[in-house]
Amino acid sequence: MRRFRRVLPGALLLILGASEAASIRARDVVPRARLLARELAGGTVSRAELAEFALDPVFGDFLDEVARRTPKSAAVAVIVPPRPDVYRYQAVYFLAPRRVLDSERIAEAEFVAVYARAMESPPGAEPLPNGFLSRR
Amino acid sequence: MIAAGGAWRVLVALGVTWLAGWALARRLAPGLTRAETAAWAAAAGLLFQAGLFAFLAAAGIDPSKGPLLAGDAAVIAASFLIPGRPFRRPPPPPRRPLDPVALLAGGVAALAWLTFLVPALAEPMWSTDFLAIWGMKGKAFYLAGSLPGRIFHDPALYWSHREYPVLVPLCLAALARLAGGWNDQALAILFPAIELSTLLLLCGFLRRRAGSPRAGAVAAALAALCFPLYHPVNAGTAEIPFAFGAVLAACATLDALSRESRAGAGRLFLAALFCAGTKQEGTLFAFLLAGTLLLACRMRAKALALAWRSAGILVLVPAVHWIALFALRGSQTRRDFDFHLFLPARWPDFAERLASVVSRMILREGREALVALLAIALFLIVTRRGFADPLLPVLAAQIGFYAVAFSVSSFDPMYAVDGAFRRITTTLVPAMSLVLAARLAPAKDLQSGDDSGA
Repeated sequence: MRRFRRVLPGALLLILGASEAASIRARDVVPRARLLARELAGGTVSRAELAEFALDPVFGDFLDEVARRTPKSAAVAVIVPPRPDVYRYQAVYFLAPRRVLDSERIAEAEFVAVYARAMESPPGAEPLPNGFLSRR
Repeated sequence: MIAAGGAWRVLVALGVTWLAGWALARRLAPGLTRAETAAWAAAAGLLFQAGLFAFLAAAGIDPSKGPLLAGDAAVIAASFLIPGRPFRRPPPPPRRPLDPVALLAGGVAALAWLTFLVPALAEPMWSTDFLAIWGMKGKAFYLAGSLPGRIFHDPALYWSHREYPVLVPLCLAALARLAGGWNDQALAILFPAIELSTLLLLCGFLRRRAGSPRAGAVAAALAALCFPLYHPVNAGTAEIPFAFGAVLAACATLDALSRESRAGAGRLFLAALFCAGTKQEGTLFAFLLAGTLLLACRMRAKALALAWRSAGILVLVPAVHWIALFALRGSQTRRDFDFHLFLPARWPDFAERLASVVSRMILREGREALVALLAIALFLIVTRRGFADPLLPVLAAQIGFYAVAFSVSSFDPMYAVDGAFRRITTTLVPAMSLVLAARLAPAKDLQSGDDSGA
């Protein structure tokens, strides 16, 4: 009994540790380990392989083009699908330091970038991947 | 990409930050183990670097690499030039044969740390909270070389939680400035580095206070195995830094419970500031620790007088931090909470929501963690009290406050529980690991850390 009482705390911590360890998912580690190994070996990684644009890799290309065609001091209205919210967050993050506005504040924008919306591009608008950019 | 040298530059920036922190923390570390000192240096360095960035920006000086390095060099030089009080080093612990359990647990902790390090560095930080809150603000601070008012007042950014503390964004901005560029893949190194600091603190603290390398290694292993916390989705958010802050505050409070000292008060100050600067929950955690200090000392009149000083630090530092943050961001509408539910007329509604939230926590989250919770409960039953037990009610109360917060959510409380409960609760796992591992050596609360000369 005494021996049991001595071993029990360690056994319980072992169970706790094992139950914690069971929460690891190979898909969170293995593909990323391979990705890192490839990068460190000088290989290339496509945007589609990264989690940041896993939802919609084309949106990354769209933002690259908006960034390339607008000055850093510009206010840009970016009209994106309303859901999921991450479209809006990605636009603000990747286009910084530009001021990124939503559809309710188009009046304050110098440029309007439209992505994946069934909107007719105005005359003079520049076509972008799955969207367009127009100057106001 | 990571191979382009960005990672090395961020590593160097982190090294400089740690050195500045070491220059500050070494005055607060008499009697601490090397592992603890390294962890306190990391905390002090991050606070200093973030504060220096904010100070330079407020003074109208561009916080570029030069001024930041000059500030770091100044604090390092000052720490050597200004004489400190001599302190008596504690006698070295007696040499013991290597403990295979401690070795095994240390190996598990190291392996678990690697399973966070590798995925965290594999790609640019990508979580929604990073893009919308922490990274967005950090990048804005970095690009502007200031804390632009637009971040706190632009109606277009209403979703970015303008009321949140800014230590994490400031750290990212300062490190990026030191590294010479915003590389959101390389900057992710900050988060495994903070995890490493947390593990070192657990190891060192328990080795000193419990006199047991085994307890320290077990605590580190239990903390590192918390994969929902140390997950790539949390690289770039405030979860991992807050988990570190909670362990800092827990260790400093346990030291304060054991013995009052000037160095201990300094560590409490650092820990309280780190907690409050990281997350709003950090302020709550510091307040709860202050309450614990007073409750634990209520029976001893002399100890109570000293505990008031420590509790005062844990309350005043977050309060002053909040005032500074308020001055920076102004009054913000809290769209997340409906505080009208606290009005007496809404109490029935509040009680109903609270009951729903608690049952959801138990039935959904509790059921998924049933094995772990049962193991913890049995462990607490079969082991004797440990010196870290005063943290247990703090951790329970913190989770209780989460339940109350979810109950007054402006949105569907169930949505809040499902979306946030696990994420924020896992930040308490490293502090809980400390409590559990301290019970492995409950009778050895003798080496309280010699702060006598400080």
